[in-house]
Amino acid sequence: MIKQLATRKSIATVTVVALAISVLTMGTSSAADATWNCKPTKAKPVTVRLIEFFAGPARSPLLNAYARQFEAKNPNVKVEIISPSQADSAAKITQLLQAKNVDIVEPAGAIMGQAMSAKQLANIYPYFSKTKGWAGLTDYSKFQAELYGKKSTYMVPNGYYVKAAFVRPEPIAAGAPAVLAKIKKGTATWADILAAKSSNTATSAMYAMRGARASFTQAIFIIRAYNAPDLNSGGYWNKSTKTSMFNSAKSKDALDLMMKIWKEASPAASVAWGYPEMVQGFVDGTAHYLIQDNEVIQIVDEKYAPFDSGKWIMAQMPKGPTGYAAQDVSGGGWSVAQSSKCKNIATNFLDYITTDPQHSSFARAYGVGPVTKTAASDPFFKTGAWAIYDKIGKDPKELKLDGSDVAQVCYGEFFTQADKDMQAMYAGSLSTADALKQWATFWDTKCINPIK
Amino acid sequence: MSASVHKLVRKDGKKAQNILAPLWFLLPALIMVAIFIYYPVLATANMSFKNYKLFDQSNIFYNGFENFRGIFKDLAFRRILQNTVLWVTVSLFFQFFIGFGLALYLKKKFKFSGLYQSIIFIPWALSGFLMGLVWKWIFDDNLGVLNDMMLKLGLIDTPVPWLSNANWAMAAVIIANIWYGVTFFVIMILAALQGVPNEILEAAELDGCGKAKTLLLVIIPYIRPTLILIVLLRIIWITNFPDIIFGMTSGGPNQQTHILSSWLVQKITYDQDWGSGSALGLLMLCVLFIFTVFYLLATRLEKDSEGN
Repeated sequence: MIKQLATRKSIATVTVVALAISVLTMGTSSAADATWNCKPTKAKPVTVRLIEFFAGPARSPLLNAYARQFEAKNPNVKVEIISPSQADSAAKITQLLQAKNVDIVEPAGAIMGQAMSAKQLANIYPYFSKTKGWAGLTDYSKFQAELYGKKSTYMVPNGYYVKAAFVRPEPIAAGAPAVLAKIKKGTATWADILAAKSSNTATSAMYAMRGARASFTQAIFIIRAYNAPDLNSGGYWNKSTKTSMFNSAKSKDALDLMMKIWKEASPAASVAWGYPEMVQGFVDGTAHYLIQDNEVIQIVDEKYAPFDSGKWIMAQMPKGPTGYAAQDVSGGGWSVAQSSKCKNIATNFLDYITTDPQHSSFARAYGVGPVTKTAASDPFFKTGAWAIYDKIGKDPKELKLDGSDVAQVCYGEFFTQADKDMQAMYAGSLSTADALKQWATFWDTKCINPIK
Repeated sequence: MSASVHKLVRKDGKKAQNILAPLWFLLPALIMVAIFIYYPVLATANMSFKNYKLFDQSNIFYNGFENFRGIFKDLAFRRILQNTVLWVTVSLFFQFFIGFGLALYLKKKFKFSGLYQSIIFIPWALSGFLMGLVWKWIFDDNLGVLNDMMLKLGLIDTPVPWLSNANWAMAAVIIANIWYGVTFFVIMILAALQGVPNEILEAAELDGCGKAKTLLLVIIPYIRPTLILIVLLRIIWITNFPDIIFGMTSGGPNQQTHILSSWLVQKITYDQDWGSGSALGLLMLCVLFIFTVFYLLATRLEKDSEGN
């Protein structure tokens, strides 16, 4: 009797537990489905919150205009665009993702790896791949959209940032005409940049160095140029040694040369230069040679002189001893937050702004490389100052890296530490050998080696 | 008998009600303070014992005193501590004396004195970060108006590396901070000066006190409590004021212009190391708390001894 009761009791317990699990599971799955099936009504309107990383006067008003158009086409939907200053945007995006209070983010730089590791971004492929926006993307944009795995889209590209040199030919012609000829041909090397210190004057110098935030990117340009073509597709690993590129002897030569360029061919004030100061330094003539992204074209065009004036020219980045250069061509993009309560509406808005003519106008106004097929065939992006990107695209000796190493979780920590190390090197309190040793150890121990 | 007991109970109950009434009125404010002040402090204290880096949120765990050890072991810590002391003492000294002088001057009635007061108060109404950006361009090595003026006046032959040399950059941020904070002292000291009764000043004059003696022996002792309080407030505020530094140098070059609070902001926003940032915040809170207790005790003891 007791045994029977015990059996009945245990059956009842198992049944209750099983029921509870199934109810909980049903609850979870229906809740997950619900976020992809949001149906806004007058009684229950939907607000989609989007936060920009690169907010600015050239693009934020345009995004707001698209938001109003989207609202007009989708009753009971409101799109809120948050445009923090670029100095605060990384922290703001991180905070909103943590607070689960945002639908769309622009996870530039280290935020992407960080958000992916925290599982804060949604895979929108099943929904987005059926849209017009997806169909209109270039093949490379689709490749970028699936960087985290086939049929997985955690970021929809919104524009490419390609590095090129902005050059003032007049002072270089006066001080280093031979180097200017090489720059125009696209064969100038980093050693030539140092040699062009002969174009320095009392109030200006050859190279616009970056000494403040993101200063280590300067070191990465030259170290990659010295290690290429032995680089993996992400650009942080040497294919020959199968370890991080910072281990190679070439990296030491590269970094030593970088420090020479800083000491002898750059304005002393550039130790405190970040992005705006570098651009301003070129615009006001303090520096003759600036390596920056394509969106700077518009700034230089407006603040210094129109490109047609001939007062400035565009050139390819300097090359290393083997004649190669390498850079990330990954760009920025939009991601839907995993915590979004209306992922379908958020993705619909991404579809709207990724489709032309919206994207084409965005790329033109903001000055980023286009991600759609129609915008990419626009002659605007092949003429004038933009012609250089066509040249870069066709040059097999300028390697295009896919940004997969930058997307690694370890990158954020490396970014902040390497920046401090660069500044310590400028101040003379850290040697190039020690910095490289630290960086090599970091990548070899804390990051995933994709070529091992 | 029962009537008198009932009377007592009623009386006691009323008394208890009277005691509780203020607490009920205070409750909404207490709840707000608890939510917005004490809870964040406790959360910060909790986080300061964790490895909490936003770059890797899958790896958050309690790590004991590791964050505190990391702060003390950091090569930049000593310089940052020195900078903080320099930043507070030099800024406070000049802000106080310039502010006092201006307040004495503005107390006098003269034509357009109201307008002068309004102009002097403007900096206090502006954002510290914004002012930092403005000062950054004033001190810019190549384009700054300051170097330009000094070159044109023949005071210097080559531009001063205001923001690219660590020592000059520290001087530059302190100058900007002095400019920004003078206003506070002007406002507070002027208000205190206006509270000094004319009778006392007239009595001092009748007793043959000169201007200097009146100031030192009558006015300053009279406004002393205000001065003690505003100096204390300013020490706390200046220590916790990273805005100008962030606007001008972001702590650079090579972290040489950081003070504790700007270093904290960098740890939170740029390094995304909330554990270390929280530990630093907690240390600052403790140091400022201890300082405040000692400062108030010292000033009270001094007052008591004067009274005796």
